[in-house]
Amino acid sequence: MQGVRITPDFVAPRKEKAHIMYKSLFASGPLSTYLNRLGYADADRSYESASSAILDIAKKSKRDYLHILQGFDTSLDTLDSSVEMVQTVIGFLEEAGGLCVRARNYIEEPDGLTKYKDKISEAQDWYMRTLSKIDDAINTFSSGGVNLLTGQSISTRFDAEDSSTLQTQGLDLRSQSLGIRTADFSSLHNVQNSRVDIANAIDLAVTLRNILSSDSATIRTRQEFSEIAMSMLTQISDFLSSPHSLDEVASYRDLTADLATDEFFFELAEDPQYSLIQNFKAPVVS
Amino acid sequence: MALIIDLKPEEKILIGSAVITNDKQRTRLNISGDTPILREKDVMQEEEATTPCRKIYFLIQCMYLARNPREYHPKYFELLKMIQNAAPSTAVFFARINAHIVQGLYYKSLRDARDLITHEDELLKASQAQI
Repeated sequence: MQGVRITPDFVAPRKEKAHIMYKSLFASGPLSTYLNRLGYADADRSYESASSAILDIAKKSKRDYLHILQGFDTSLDTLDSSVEMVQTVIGFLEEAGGLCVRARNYIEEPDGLTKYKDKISEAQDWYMRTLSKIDDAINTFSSGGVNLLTGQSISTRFDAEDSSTLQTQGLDLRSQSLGIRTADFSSLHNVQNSRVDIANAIDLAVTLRNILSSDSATIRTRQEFSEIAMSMLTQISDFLSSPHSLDEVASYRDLTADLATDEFFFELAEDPQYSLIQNFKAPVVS
Repeated sequence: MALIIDLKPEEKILIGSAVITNDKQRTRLNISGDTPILREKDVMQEEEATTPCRKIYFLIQCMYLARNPREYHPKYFELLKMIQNAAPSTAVFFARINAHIVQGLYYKSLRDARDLITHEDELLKASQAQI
């Protein structure tokens, strides 16, 4: 405990100290209302019941965080490995796109279709093999029993009651679902069609990668927040469950005074939010 | 479901990253989608964040408006720790505020932060009485 007034338990008679905390705890209307709403109707009868109510709430919140943090880990594993797999698929698609370009270049040469018949046929074979590699990779992929690359989805819980969730919807990136036609490099027109198919497929794969990365970033932010929030709850639980003496009113007065000094001064808002909030001050121009 | 907001003449409202000022008549807005919305009466300026819990309200407001709320977490938790250490009873409010932040429900967190400010007012009033 830093910067607050805490005295060892032996300094003053326990009853008196308890009274100070008890009084300050229930001086507040919102606190009583809130505790009552949560079923702690007797919490304001004694210091022990007040402390025990707060401890109970802290413990329940900690349990909730543990529950959702477990879900975050599972979702992040799935999202991260799916992003890697999408990246692999994009690599294969780019390879297929390169083969289309190679075939097109051969065909565009004078008498290219005849002159480079074997090379064009080879490019077509490699193109089809690359599509098979994509399908095989996707069909054998699974992370946590989920395959976001076949259009399955995952749900990430942000509360213990499952009332707040993030649904991550995958996309089917298998060649047939993407509408990639069977390669037929017998004309420039057909090769161009294959090239368009691949370009569209890359667009979809990039979209999926962006969705997964964005959801992953959201979950990471909330994971980090939950971990710190949980550590704060641990700290307060430890404090309340050990012998202590704290005059909240005096401690809070000291904190307020400390924060008002230059030593504790720091800018709260970053520039973009500062400017945005400042807009509320701008006079109306008619 | 669309959110319906009635604006008074010349009232300002923040929607997304724009502050919109109503003209000289009353207006009803139907807003769909997921974007930060703050009414003029709920907005706190930095210079109004004069007490620890008001600073908490202001920081939540910034998180709500930020593209990356993560950049506010260090300041927020540093302050939370100081407040909670000085007044453990605030832990009850923070449990609720933080649960809403984790769900991305910043508007509800701001509402909870107002309860925290009322609790703080009581603490500061009691402190005046002690002196």
